[in-house]
Amino acid sequence: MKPQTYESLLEQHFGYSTFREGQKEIIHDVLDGNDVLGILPTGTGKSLCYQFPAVLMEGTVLIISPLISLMIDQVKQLKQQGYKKVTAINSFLNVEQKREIFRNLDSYKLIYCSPEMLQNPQFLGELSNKVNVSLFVVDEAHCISQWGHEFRPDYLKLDDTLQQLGNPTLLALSATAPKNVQDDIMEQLGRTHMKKHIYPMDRENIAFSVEHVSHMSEKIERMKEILTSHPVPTMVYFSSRQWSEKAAYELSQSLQHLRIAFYHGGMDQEDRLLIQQQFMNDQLDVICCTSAFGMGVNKSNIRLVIHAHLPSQLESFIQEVGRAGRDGKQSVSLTFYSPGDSEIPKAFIEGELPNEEILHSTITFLYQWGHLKGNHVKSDEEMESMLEIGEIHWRFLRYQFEKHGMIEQTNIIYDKNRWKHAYEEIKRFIQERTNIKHRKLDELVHWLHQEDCLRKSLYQPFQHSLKSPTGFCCDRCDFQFNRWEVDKRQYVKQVSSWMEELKQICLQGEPYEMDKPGRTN
Amino acid sequence: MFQTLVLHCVHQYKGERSLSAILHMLTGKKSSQTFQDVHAYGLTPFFGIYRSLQRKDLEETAITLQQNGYLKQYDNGNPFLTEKGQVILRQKWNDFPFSFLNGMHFHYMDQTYWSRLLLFVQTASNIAMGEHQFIPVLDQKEIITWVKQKYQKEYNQLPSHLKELYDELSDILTQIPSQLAEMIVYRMTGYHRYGFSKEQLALKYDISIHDVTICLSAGIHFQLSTIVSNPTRFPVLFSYCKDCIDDIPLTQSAKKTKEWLDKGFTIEQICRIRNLKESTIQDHIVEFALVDPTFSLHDFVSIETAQDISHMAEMLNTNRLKAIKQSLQDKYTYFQIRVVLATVQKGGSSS
Repeated sequence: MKPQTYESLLEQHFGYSTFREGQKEIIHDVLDGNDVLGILPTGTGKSLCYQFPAVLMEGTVLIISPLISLMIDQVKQLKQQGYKKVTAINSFLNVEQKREIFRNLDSYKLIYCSPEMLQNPQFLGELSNKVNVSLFVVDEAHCISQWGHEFRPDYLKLDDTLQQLGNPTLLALSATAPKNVQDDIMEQLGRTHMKKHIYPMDRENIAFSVEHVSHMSEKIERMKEILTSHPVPTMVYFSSRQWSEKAAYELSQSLQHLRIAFYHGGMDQEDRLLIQQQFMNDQLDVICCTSAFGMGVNKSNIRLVIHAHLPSQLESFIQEVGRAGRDGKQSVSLTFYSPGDSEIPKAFIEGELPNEEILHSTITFLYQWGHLKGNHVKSDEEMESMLEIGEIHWRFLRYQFEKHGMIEQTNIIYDKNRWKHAYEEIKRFIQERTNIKHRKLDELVHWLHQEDCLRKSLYQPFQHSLKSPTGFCCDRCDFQFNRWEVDKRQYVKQVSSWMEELKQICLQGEPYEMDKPGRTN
Repeated sequence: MFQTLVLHCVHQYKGERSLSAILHMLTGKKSSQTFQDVHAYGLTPFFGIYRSLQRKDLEETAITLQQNGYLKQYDNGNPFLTEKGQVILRQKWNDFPFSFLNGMHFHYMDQTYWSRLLLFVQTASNIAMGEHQFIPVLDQKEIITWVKQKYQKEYNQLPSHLKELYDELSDILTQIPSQLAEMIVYRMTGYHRYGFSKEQLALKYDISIHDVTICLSAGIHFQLSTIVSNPTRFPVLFSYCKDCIDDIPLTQSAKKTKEWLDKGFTIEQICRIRNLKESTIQDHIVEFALVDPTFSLHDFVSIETAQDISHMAEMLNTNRLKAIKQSLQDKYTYFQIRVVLATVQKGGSSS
């Protein structure tokens, strides 16, 4: 297959006329049978890097994905494009559905699953017996490094799985992975000689701005001002569900000209989909959300991404900002900071791993209830409720106990010295992981207080050189909201009766007019 | 609205049931206890009308009602209404469209009907406009399969199908309060127009998300009862639900038991054949007594027994099996009492 024919295949199967930066190079290497580590910025079509080879390769592409919602989104999108030989195996499926998928496992061209599912002996058995896995993809590969060491240890077992599946070609993809994370990914996957395709993640059409304010109410006031002068498609990130709801309410009270809604993980599946699609479909202008929103959001005309609260690291920040301006037009990232704001992610970091007290009481419990009373380790749910600790804490601890030989399968193996040593080791490890996260947060906070160019300092840890911005750079250099001109044509709220609405939905009456504001900015 | 409904449930249960009973009733739990209670305490319209209700939400609501002085709890935890609670219930009851609800009749088919309608309208509206790529608002496999089959039948007459849908729906919706009709319509998705989420509806009408759920159930039940009682006037909408209509809504297992009974087998024989416990078969029989109009009580209890039991229940003004059993000096079994009460509650005669 010669590279020049790739374009026609692309057109034929995916409806695009050209590849985006990096896609073709990665695809080329993958089809040549090389293991590839691809770092491509958000919004540049990472998934095409394995969906395209799936069309050309014999056998099946297996994709390891960290989040169920992400898998489901991908499968939906593929099916929408008319690609049917695709499935996602996840814990939402019931026994019957799973059985049906397993029975026809060899009929799929793309199979999505979680690293945990891959440890399911039945699934792995079906996979290695029935399916010729020709390409093994680790999507969002930074999760190996970010989560693998803590509460998703199954991410660290992928190297074994690769062997069990007969060493297929490997493709690891991520949007944000600095050098040390890249090295960790390759090491954990046991393939240290992967071909690296690293593409710069700076976005030349996004301008950066940081505003220091005194508290949340000031942020909301400022948002009202900005959204009045700049009524553009906007995402506002909050760290809590409550705030996303509250802000959506306050903003919609005073910004009658905008359609505003909130989105968070506490809403049910159907309603989440409706809100997401309304936003994609330009039925909503502003969405107040938590980080649950965004994965798989493929809207090209988001003009403004506001961080009302901070994420906990630069990587997440860059990913979230990267949802703006996918169409290449001038877009803006605005981050608010008020004194004490870093306490929220700090508290989150502190709570993410079990503290010394939890560690101590869990070990004591294992000793008394397990060793002395001769009990076996029970299911995760039972252990969590007996210990009164969260899922992530227990998963982390269970993995640590296994690693230190305190637990084998369901047996609790007591050895005084070993346990003492393990206790110290786990304590040290928790401290170390927590310190790393605090340092990452510090980097972000440090960036917010930069006096020099925000663009330069943001991307510095990830790449050597920068593209020059196509429009504004940042508020330290040339950006001010009053210099940014946007199309102010606004949506006019029409009040129509339900009868009129129903007419439109059922395409009755006057020729249907699209309910779109028709922005051209 | 939800609060008023909870007050109503507490009132109907007369302090004889816990908050869990209300949860089981609203979520439509398939247990013979719940089933029988629902009939016994006159709560059939509300059975299964809020299947996604979470225990914590019900508990929160109960706490609010308690703080307002509308309800209290007995020592055993069962809630009951205070004077104040009864007054507010009487005041508010008629403000809401509770009369449209018919959970016992429609709980097993309301979501199927409504989901099919939502997804087919979205599909037809998009494809009729030449848009073949859209994200379906629902992803349950059975619904998608049904809509695909329906589409195969209708694809060359989508515009007229939509026209008929519009005519029938607007005919039905003009019969209910306009705000309720509006909620139903806003929930729907068409070409380049995705429906409102429950949160958005709650915000728009300044009601709670629980209220939205109940309103939607009421709107759907009203559609169903209108359609089912007059299929010739609503032939298109009828095609969205006719295969779901089951004259006697029984659980699968109960249906099997009924087949054996109809063939003349005894309870003991059925137990052996089906390898089930006697109590399970008895549960099934109580289910028949509740819903099957052709059920013959005297196949299971004598006329005298039935009269004894129903008189005692009437006298004590209770449906608590234990109280009835004790007052009759343990002369009858729980099964005998349950099956008699069930028949009475259905509106049948015990003699």
